[in-house]
Amino acid sequence: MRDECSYENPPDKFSLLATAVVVAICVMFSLITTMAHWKRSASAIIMIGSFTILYIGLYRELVIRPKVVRVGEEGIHLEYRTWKPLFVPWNGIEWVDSVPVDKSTLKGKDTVEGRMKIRVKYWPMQLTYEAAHAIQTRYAERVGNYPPISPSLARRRAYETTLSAKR
Amino acid sequence: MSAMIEQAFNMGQHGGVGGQRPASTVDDGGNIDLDGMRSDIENSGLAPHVSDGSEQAERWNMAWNIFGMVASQISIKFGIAGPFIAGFTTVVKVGLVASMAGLALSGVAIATDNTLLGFVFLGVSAIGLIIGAKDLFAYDTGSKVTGLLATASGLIGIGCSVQAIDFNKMQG
Repeated sequence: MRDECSYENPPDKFSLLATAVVVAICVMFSLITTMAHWKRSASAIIMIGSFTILYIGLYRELVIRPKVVRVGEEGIHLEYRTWKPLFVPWNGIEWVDSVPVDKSTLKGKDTVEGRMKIRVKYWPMQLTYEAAHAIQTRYAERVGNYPPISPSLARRRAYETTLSAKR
Repeated sequence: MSAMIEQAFNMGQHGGVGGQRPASTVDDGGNIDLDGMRSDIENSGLAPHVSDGSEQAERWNMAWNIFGMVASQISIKFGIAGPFIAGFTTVVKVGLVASMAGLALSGVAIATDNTLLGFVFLGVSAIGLIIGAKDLFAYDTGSKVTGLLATASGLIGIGCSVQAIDFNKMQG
């Protein structure tokens, strides 16, 4: 029997930086419109929306993203920063995506390398490529086939296949 | 001396748009009229109090319109070309294009002061915002920035559309 493998899953710095830049631009836009005597409601919508985007960015990277992923024989253990630890059996996994990327390029930094959707949570969680790939491999060993990929990745691959066929 | 200073102000050397300057900045006793000077600066258009219909205010508003037009061009090109090049899913294409177009064209609504256009682009921006916000969590594009851009541009588009809509006129 194989041991349980543990994978660190730190927040994505590129994603946090992009969120901070976009929010800063929106806040500045809101302040400029305030100075230019736009309607208060228009400026307020942009300002409140900006802070909502910031909240979503932090929530996504720090709350719903597990801190540590342990891949065991019966399923996976997820440790969160603010939530209680969660055990997900193999049949609790809805889909898993893992995309190898070159982190030295901008496109690679922007690409989501690992995602997983479990049945008990509404939103998918972001994972490192190593963690996502390990889950797929162990799932295949235990269940007999690889877990499904997300519908959006399936559509994207179909689109890329169509493009390459046209060429 | 005080007469010379007053003459300088009245000749318009301290900014100000003709006819809107206070009659005197220094009174007969040689005291400086601070309220008058403040009003003078505000009327000059140097301060961002530009809703007084003055010439400076018009220029300021024109600058905003030009900004809106330039933003329109950049946004439309990026909004249409970007998703197709990257091969995103159809829903995300619609979201990003709607969001960018809503932002860009709401600038046109402001420039033309057209309430109907404001409402139309408010709806377009809102569609983009909703799809973009969903992508923020779901990463449907496989990209980390796309959802952010769609959400942010949809948000600013909504703000611009609200600015373009004259609610007072609607109430009669």
